[in-house]
Amino acid sequence: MSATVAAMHGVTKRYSDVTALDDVTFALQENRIHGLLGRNGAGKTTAMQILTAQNFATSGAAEIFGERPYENARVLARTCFIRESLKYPDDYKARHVLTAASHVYPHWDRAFADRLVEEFALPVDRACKKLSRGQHSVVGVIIGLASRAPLTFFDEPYLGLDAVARQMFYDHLLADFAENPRTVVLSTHLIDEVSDLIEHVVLIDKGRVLIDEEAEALRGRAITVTGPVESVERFARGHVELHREQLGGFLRVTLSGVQPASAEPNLQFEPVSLQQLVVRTTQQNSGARLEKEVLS
Amino acid sequence: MTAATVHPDPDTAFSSTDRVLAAARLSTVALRSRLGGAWVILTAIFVVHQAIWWVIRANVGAEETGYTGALASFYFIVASTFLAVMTQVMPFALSLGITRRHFYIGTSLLVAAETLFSAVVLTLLLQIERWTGGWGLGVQFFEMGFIGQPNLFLQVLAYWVPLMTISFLFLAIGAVFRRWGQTGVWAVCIGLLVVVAAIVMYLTWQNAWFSFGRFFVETPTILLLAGYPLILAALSVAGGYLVLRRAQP
Repeated sequence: MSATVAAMHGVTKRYSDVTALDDVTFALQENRIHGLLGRNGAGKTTAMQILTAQNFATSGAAEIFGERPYENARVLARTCFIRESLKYPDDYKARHVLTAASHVYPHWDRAFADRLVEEFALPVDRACKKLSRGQHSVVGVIIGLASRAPLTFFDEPYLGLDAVARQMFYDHLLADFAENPRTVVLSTHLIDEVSDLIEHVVLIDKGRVLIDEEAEALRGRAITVTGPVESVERFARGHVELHREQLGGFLRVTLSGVQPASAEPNLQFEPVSLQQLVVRTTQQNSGARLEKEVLS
Repeated sequence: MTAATVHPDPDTAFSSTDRVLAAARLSTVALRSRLGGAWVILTAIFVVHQAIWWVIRANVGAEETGYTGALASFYFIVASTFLAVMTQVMPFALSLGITRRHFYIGTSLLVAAETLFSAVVLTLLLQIERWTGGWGLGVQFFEMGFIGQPNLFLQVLAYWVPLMTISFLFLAIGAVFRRWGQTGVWAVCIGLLVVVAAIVMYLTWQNAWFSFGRFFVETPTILLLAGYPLILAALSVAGGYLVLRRAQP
């Protein structure tokens, strides 16, 4: 049985001219890795800030560990929020930042942190303001991993990291997660890279939740069908179409909730990657909105 | 399915004291560069100050005891380090799951402790200044002409309270920055300016400048230094907390 660690109930966040979150409801389960996906400005960071009481909802309620997070040390003490935009104090060296974090978390793993410093080749005696973008990200990654906080948020933690370093991060996250299960929320654009990692997907677009499902279920959710225009049209009729592209007499459509039909010899079926599904779903959402706006 | 909700683990011992200490330690990890930095600057000011006086003495000859208010800069240097703590360490603290309240209490205790330490060192330096007859030049750097008290206890208080008060004030201004940004800080500065202008106008209008001046002359310096500033300190601490309660990193 899974248990809820964090949840949003109808949370809306309005700034003077923008609605960052619009009636958002989702729940995060204990000891799982969640992917919080969406475009820039979709509202991912705002959602995580509200869950950790760094920001305040206009209406609705957020809870972590069953309680309101605002100024609630009992539950906030069990969180760690690694933000891409977080700046560390100017005159702190990287090792000051790590030492400071080690004092905060009772389960901080010093040996693990040291090993990560070595593997990522972090210059711990360099002032934070002189670290490169990638090294800055490494500091956050090390804190997020070594803190072993029961609820850890990584908000695009990989900025400036090359592909090798990102893979190291994913490997360490997965290995440490296996030994020390905890609830992880990974907000990212690089969906292909993490699609094997995440167990549950929450997709936000323009402040609304589009997908809130198990990653496993999503993997079989959509397929692309390629073939002669007529055959594809016939097959696609009556199904939810996420995307279509035509090249001469050939048509390729992405369909949701369809099983491949083996009786169609001139049609090709391919599974859709998580990234493709997310992209197509987001595009369809924008398209639907556009249509609605044009019609109204 | 999602029938259960995970509640805070009662096994992990949790105390507010731990959190407050952890919050304070976020700012002590780089203590050497922060507090040490302030003292290095003060040393530089002292050396330049004495060098200038040495030149004056060499040219004009020994006259009565000289002094300036150069030490006052130290108060603002120390206070500005706490302004940086509020603007830079606070977002980091919140990311690590520390509440605004615990961060504020921890940092305020740190302000009290660090300024007390500085006050004790200043008191020792003042004793040296007295024993050496103004560093052999007849120049008061730490005395500033008025800050001397009859005993060491009052002397520490005379340094400590103003240093702490200005630091709390800067901490509160840092909280304003965290909540309302640069605009908020400007608004506070303009607000303070208006208040000062109103007081000046009132005193002028009431022809009260004489009694205003007499108040400062007749009140014992220890009350001016370590009594009345406590009101401002208390207001700053309370106001800073109210502002920070809804601040966002």
